Amino acid sequence: MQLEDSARPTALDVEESVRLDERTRRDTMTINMGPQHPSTHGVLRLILTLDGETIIKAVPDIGYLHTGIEKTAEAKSYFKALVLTDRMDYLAPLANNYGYSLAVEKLLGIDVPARARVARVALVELQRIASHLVWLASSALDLGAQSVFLYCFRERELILDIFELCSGVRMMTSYIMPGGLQADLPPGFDAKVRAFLDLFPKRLSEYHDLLTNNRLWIDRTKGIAPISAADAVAFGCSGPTLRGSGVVYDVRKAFPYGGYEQFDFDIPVGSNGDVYDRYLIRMLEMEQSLRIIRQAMDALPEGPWQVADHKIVPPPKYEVSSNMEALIHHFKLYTEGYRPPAGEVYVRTESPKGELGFYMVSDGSAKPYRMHVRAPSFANLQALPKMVEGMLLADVVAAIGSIDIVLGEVDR
Amino acid sequence: MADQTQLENARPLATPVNPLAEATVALLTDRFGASVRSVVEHRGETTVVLAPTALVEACQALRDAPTLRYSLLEDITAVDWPEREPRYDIVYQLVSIETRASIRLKVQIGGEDDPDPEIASVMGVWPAANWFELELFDLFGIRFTGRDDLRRLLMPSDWAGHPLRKDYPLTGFALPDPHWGGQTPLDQPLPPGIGQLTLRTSDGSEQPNLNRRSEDDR
Repeated sequence: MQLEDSARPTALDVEESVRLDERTRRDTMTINMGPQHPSTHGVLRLILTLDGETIIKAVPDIGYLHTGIEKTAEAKSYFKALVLTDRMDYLAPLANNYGYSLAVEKLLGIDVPARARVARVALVELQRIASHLVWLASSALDLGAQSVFLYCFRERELILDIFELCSGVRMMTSYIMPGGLQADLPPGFDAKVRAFLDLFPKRLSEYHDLLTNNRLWIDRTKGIAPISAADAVAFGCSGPTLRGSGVVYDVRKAFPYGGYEQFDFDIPVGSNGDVYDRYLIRMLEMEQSLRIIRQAMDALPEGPWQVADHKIVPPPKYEVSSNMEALIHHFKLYTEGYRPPAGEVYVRTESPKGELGFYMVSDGSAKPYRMHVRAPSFANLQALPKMVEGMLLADVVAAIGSIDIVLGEVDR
Repeated sequence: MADQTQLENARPLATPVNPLAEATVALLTDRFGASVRSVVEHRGETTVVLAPTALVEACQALRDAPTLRYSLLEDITAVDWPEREPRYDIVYQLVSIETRASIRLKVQIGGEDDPDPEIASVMGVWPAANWFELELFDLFGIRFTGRDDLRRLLMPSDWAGHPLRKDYPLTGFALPDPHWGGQTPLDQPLPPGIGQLTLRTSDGSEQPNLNRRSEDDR
């Protein structure tokens, strides 16, 4: 087939797909996949140019879930913009809270007490397992493995129970906040996390039994949607999508933040950059997260869980009704908020999806002058056309599952 | 404010002296001299403000410098300062996977007599710039030269205005005319054809149904 003109690396838009279709009309067909397709993990629309079942061009069309979070944040105080961040990667809200809190704390120039620091790491690693479980469940379901879906959601519920114990909410917790945690870790937290740590390795090996050496799973994932290390870096991939191609880059190791340098863990790295490698990396990452959580639970110190400055964190409720100063702090915080000194920071964290960056600009007022979120899914999704070119239509489903996108984060 | 927060549990963050950032600044001042407008250090992060004309060459130099190797473009974003001249900051966040160097580049463009500012695209240096630049075109109205496929990425293709500009209202009746960015209001009938087509040519005319083949195609 003659397609010499169409091998341009830039993203095609709809019109170009149509022109391509016209030129080779006897052979190709342009179809829509999504935005209501169940395997596009939200509202992703792909415009696919097919020759039979082979993908010639794939053009992602995003923006269906654009909620203007960056614009909205400019109208909220730092204290209140926190809850917006839960809604971006809604499968890992604590990871978003964490990135946001670190950025605001860096703007303020403060550090949190040791108990908050260690508890945050444990919570974020639990969140990583929860997020990876949803990824495993849905990407296995996309490829026809239905029972994996049910098992993964069963275990994820145990983690959400822990979050509910801490914050009263299963998903949109906003539990990690600038200045520490919203509340102290509750009684029973330690026992629940340790029970999960004891149970989960067994369950993880069950998933390995179901998939890792499964002939059907290997046929659908090995050698599918590969991307080379050079391409993955060039397209700005991060997280398991980048490490699947053999690039050793994890923000937790490269630019340690929030005390990660004190924990002992490994970074799983793949070699082929295909769906199977990305699958294995996330499976191994869950084991590493368990290691980190175990160390964090052992090292968890007693003490304050927030900074003592009630200009940044609200004073306890019992003080508000008995202490004049606490009442003033309470009033100031909820009506106006705090004012970080003018300046800009960029804080990168390793979210379950990849590198989550918060670029915050303060003009010295109580509202962020600009909050930009470098969403890992956004950058990873750019590499999808490169991955699926020349693959079969059914492999697109496997590829989307393997880069683990969340459209709430892509579109923001 | 920072001093007030240093109470018993809060200690100020240490500011690491980053030799790689220093080397980056040295390389840029060496190669591009007058094009390096300023270097700002804040909270341990280094920002280099460059002249817009030197941007692409500087990016190329940073990516290819053997001791630095800025291979990963993390982020491109913009900040709108409507009172200031030039009005927009375009912010590039670079990191090196090999050497762990990181730097922030900034160019300043736009202004009262330049409402649709232009800046050269860095897609040739890092293909990752693609969507970040489209997003800035969509939400800030920054035009990137050297690429011919600028289009709206997040907003609908017929949207009017650029929502992340500071003069674009968050909500309310002050929204630019036509209301709702040119979308048909809910209480008015849709123009004929809208909602029935999925594919249109660039001049707006209708495409034949591509999925149904005519007899002579077979």
